[in-house]
Amino acid sequence: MKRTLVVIAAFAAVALWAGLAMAGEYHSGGSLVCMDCHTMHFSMQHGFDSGNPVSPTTAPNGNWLSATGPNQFLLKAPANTLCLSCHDGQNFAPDVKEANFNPAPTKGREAGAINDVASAGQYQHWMGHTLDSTSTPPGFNPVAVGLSATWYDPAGGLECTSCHAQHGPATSYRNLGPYALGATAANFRPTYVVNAANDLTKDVWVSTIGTGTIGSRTPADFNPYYDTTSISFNRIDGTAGTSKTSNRMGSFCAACHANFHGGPGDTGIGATPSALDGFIRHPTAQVTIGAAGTQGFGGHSSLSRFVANTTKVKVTTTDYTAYADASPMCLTCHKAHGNANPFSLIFLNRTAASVDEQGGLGASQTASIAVNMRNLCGQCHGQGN
Amino acid sequence: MVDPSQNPGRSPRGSGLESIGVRLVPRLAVVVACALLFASRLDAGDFHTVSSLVCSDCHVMHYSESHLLGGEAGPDPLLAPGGPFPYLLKAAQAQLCLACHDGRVDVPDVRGANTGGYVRAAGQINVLGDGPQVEGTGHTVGSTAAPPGGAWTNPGLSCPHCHATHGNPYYRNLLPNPGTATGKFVTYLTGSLYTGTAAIQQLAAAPMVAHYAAGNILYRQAAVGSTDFGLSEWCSGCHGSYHGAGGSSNIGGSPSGDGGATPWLRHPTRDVTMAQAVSNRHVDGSHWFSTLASRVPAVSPSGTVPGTAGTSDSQVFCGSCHRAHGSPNPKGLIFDDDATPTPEDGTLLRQTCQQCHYQ
Repeated sequence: MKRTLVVIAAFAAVALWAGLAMAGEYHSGGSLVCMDCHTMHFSMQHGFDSGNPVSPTTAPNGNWLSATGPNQFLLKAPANTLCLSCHDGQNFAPDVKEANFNPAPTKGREAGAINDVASAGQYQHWMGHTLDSTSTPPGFNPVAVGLSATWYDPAGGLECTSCHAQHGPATSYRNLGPYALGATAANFRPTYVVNAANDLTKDVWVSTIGTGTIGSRTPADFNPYYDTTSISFNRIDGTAGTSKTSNRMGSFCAACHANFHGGPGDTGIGATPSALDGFIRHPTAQVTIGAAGTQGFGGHSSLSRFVANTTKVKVTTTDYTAYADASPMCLTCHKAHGNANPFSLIFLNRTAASVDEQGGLGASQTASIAVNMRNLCGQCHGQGN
Repeated sequence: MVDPSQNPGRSPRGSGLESIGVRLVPRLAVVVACALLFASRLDAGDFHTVSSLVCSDCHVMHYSESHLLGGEAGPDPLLAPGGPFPYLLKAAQAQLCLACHDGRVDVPDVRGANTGGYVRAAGQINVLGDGPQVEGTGHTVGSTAAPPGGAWTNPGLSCPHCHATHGNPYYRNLLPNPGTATGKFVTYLTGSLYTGTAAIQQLAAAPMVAHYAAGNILYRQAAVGSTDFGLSEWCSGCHGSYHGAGGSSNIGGSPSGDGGATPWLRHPTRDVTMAQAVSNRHVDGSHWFSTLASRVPAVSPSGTVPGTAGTSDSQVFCGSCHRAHGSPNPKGLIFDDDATPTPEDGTLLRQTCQQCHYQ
C-alpha cells in the first residue's frame, strides 16, 4: 500500500511538473534544468548524450562549457555572460539583447531589447536597462514600496538575476522577482495565465504559448509567446508599501524605481483620488484614462481617444472592449528591457499599421523626436490635436 | 509662441540654472540639428500647436532625466531644482516659459531687450522683481495687480493667462476669452494673399526674425459687421473700460466719430477711421497721409495704410500705441520718430500722438 501511494505521488509530481512546464516560463518548475547553467567541477570531457568533447561555445542541452572559470555558484560562465550565451544570438532561445538575432515576433518582443555597458549603435545605454551598469536606478527608493533600502546594490552591476529569479518560481511571469527581494517577494512577482481565455485574477495574460515542446523550440515556435500582441495586463488594484499599484508588473518595476510609481494621492505622484488634479509625476496606477475628479479637475487624458486608437499601448484593465477602467502603467510607455529609443520609450502612433519594438509611425509621418513624443503621449492625450 | 528651432538649454534669468545652461554650449550642434529638424513646422504658423506641440519641450514624466532624449549627459538643463512641479512641468510655470523665451537667439525672446535684434510685434514683457521702472513698462509676469480698466481677478499674471499652452488655431496661440471676456478671439492667416475676415495677416512664418517682427504683421479687422473683432477687442477681456464701440458709454463719441456733439470720453480703439477722424478734425489731414519714414501700426481692412485723407479705412487700435507684452517705455507705449525709418526709435510720447494728430 505504501509503495502504491509513493507511485501515485510520483505520478502526481510528474503531472505537476509537466503542468508547470506547460504553464509557460522556462527555467522554472519542470523546465528548470540544472545542467543548462551549472557545472559541478568546471570540467566536461564529454557531453551528456555522447562521449564527444563539448564545445566552449554555447550549445543546447547543456553540452558546452565556457573557457572562463571556474565561476561562482558553479556556473558555466560568469553570470550575465552565461545568460546571454543562450539569450543572445541563438536560435534555440529567445534573444533578448539588442537586435533580435531571430526572426522577430509579429510586433516585436514584449520586453524589447536589453543592452550592456559596451553597447553601441542602435542600442545604447540610454535606451533601456544596461547590463553591468553600476548606476543607481533612477527613482530608487525601495523603502517606499516596503522593501529593504539595500535589497539591490548597484555596485555589483546590473545582472539578469537582478530582475529574474533564475530558478523560478513557476508562478511568476517571466520568472520576475529576484530572490534578493526577500520575504515580501511575492508582492513584486506578477502572476500570469497562459490561455486563450483571460483570467482576471492574474496580473498578466499571455494569450498563447506558441508551438513546439518547451526546451527545444524554434523561433517560430516560441515567438508568439513573447510577442507584444500576446501580452496583456489585468488591472488588480492594491498597494506596495505606501505606493498604489494596479498590477504586480508595476510593483515589480517600483522595487527599483519607486519614486516614479503610484497613483493619485501618493507622495511622489501628487493629486488626490477625488480631485485628480495637481499631479507632479505621471501616475502609473489607479487612475483611469479620461477620468475627471469630483471637483471637476482631471480629464487630462481622453478615454474615447484611447478607445478609438487602432493601435494601442499597453494599459492595465479588466475591460478589453470599452477600457472603462484602463490605467497607465510603466509598460504603457517603456519597454522593460529596452529598445532603440531614448528611455526605452515606445513611440507608437495610435493608427500605426506597422509596429515593432520601437513603436510605429502613422501614415505619412516621418520620425523625429517631436513626432515620436507626440505619438506616444497622443495615445491618451489629445492636446494639440 | 516659440520658434520651431527652439531647443532646451537656456536657464531662467536669475536662477541657478544659468550655470547649467552654460554647460549646454558645447551641445550647440544638437541645438542646430533640432533647429533643422523642426524647421518644417515653420509653415504651420505658430509654435506649441498641432504638430509643433512637443510634449517633452515642457513636461517631464518622472522629474528625472539622467540623460537627454538624444543620449547626451543629463540632467536636462530645463529641469529646475525644487521639483517635481505641478502639471509635470520641468520648472515652475512662470520660469518654464522664460527658460526658452528669454535671452536666446533660436527662440523668440520676449523678456527685456531682444537678443534676436529685430523689432518684435509684441514687444517685451517684464517680470515682478525687475524693479518699478521696468514693471511699469508693460505686462508684468507675477503681478497680482488688477488689470487697469478691468475687473478680472488676477491670481498672479502668467503666460497661460493669455496664451494657450497646448496651442489653438488663433494668433500666437492667444487664449479665447481672456480675463472676463466672452466671444473674444484673434483669427489670423499666413501669407501675402489676404482673404476672408482674419483679424491679422502674418506675411511670413519663416525665418524666425521675420515671423515675429513688427513689420511682418498686418492688422486687418477691428469689427466684422456688428461683431467685435481683432486684437483690440481681445485686449478688452482684461481692460474692458478702455474698449468699446463708438458711442458706448465708456468711450463716448459715435460710430462715425465725435462729430462735435458727442465728444470722446476715452480714446477710441475701434470703429472710427482715419478719414472720419480727419472729418472730425482730430487727425491732421496731411501729416499721417504723407510719406512718413516710419509709422505706428493701424488696422486696415483693405490693407492700405495710410490711404488717403478722404477714403482711408485705417483705424486706431490698442496696438497703435501699446506693445502687447510691453516696451522700454512707460505703459508699454510705442515711441516712434516718424522722421526716421527706424521703427520705435522715438524718445517722447508726443512723437506717437503726433503721427496722427499733428497738433
